[in-house]
Amino acid sequence: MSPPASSEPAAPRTRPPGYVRTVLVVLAKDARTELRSKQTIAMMLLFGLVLTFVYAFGFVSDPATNKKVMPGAMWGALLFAGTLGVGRTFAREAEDGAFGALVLSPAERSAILLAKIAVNVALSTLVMLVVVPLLAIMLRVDLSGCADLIALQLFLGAIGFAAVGTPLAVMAVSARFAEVLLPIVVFPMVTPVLIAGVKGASVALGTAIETDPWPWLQFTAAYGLVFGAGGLFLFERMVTE
Amino acid sequence: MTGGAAGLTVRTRGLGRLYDDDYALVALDATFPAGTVTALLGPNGAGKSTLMGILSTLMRPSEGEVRYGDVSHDDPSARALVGYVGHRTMLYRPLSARENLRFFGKLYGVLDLDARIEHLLGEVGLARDADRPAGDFSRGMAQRLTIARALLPGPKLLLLDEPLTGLDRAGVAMAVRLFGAERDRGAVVVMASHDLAATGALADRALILRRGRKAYEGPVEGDLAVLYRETLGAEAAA
Repeated sequence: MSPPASSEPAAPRTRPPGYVRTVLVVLAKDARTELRSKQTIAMMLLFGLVLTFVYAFGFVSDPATNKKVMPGAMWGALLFAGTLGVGRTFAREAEDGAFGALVLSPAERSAILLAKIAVNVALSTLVMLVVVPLLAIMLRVDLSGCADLIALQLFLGAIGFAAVGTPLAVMAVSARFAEVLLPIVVFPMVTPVLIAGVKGASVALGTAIETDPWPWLQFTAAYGLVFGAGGLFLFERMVTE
Repeated sequence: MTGGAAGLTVRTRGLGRLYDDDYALVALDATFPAGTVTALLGPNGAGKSTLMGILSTLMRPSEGEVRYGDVSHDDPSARALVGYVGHRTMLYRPLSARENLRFFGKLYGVLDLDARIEHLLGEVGLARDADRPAGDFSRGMAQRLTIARALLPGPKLLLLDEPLTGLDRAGVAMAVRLFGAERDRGAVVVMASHDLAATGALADRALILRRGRKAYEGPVEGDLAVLYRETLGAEAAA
């Protein structure tokens, strides 16, 4: 038995978006959902601020010791807040299975991942813009002579962290106990970035034996590049069961 | 650029899917002609959702192949052909109904998107709720929006896995009318639903699975529920 045909017109004409347009469309969607809910940024900020206070009140000492503590405190905040961020950005995608519809679309899948990496870099950068100055104030560390270098290190670190953490979050999102699984997988993978960041920041603050921070910066950049490229290349297989 | 009348035939040949050591689907040869609605039936664990997952391109077959006209399952362009309504709504709760449709419409590159969105919102009865967040919707309203999302790009293959979930009687009638219109447009429609009355009102053909194997493939002549019971016997009650 066939129901009567409706007045549905012919199928609409379509022209799948290009790579850059896909990145921008996904970025705009994520920005809109985050601005509306503010869940992820609020959780990351709260976590970053709690860590700041723990470091400040737990380790505050003489100026020389505070300077030595500062790199570990900064990068620790990036690690924990960043992990929370990558987990949350995909938890929202998993909610109601929207991620399935996203990867079913004809849009280039690696462009979707690139947009997600960019979102996580932006969120981590925003959190560090609040946390690092606050840490510097509370630990009484003067960053004025090396602020640009520290900012560059943290930005590259945020890229490296997102390049590693975002594809792993995609894989963890469909797993049971995703929020437990993600840190277990992410922490060992980002340890090299963390070490390079702490060492580079120590050099920038003048508390390390070395004097040249650039090898650490180059390592952080290369790590992000290699893992970012690997993730983009493998993403197609990650999202197909 | 794609568009206009649909008209491809979807074929599976020797299709198999292995989970650990168990086959969910075994050597399935099936044909889904253009301009037909195929009822995909079977008891729990028969392989319906696995077949839907493979046809949608979200899953990879362990064996065999799927062809969408001339397009292979592995070809990324196959995704542009498929509209999918699954067990979950696949919507973004913080976004409004209109924003959800606009987002997916942009990913499919739907031209004249605003007009298409307004048309579909009217068709699924959500025109007055278009600016409310999807998270505020009842299950039935969310399902209406899910159907609109699947129809948005004018898919040539429309996969409907329990598409009537949460819909009231008016909603079921709306869905049956829209799915029938897609078939009349020339699309391949595959529908798995426990609502045999509604499915029977639409289906031209049936594919009945039993433990991953084809138990029946052919036209529906008469009552779909009777065909189902006759094919599966006591298993039909499962």
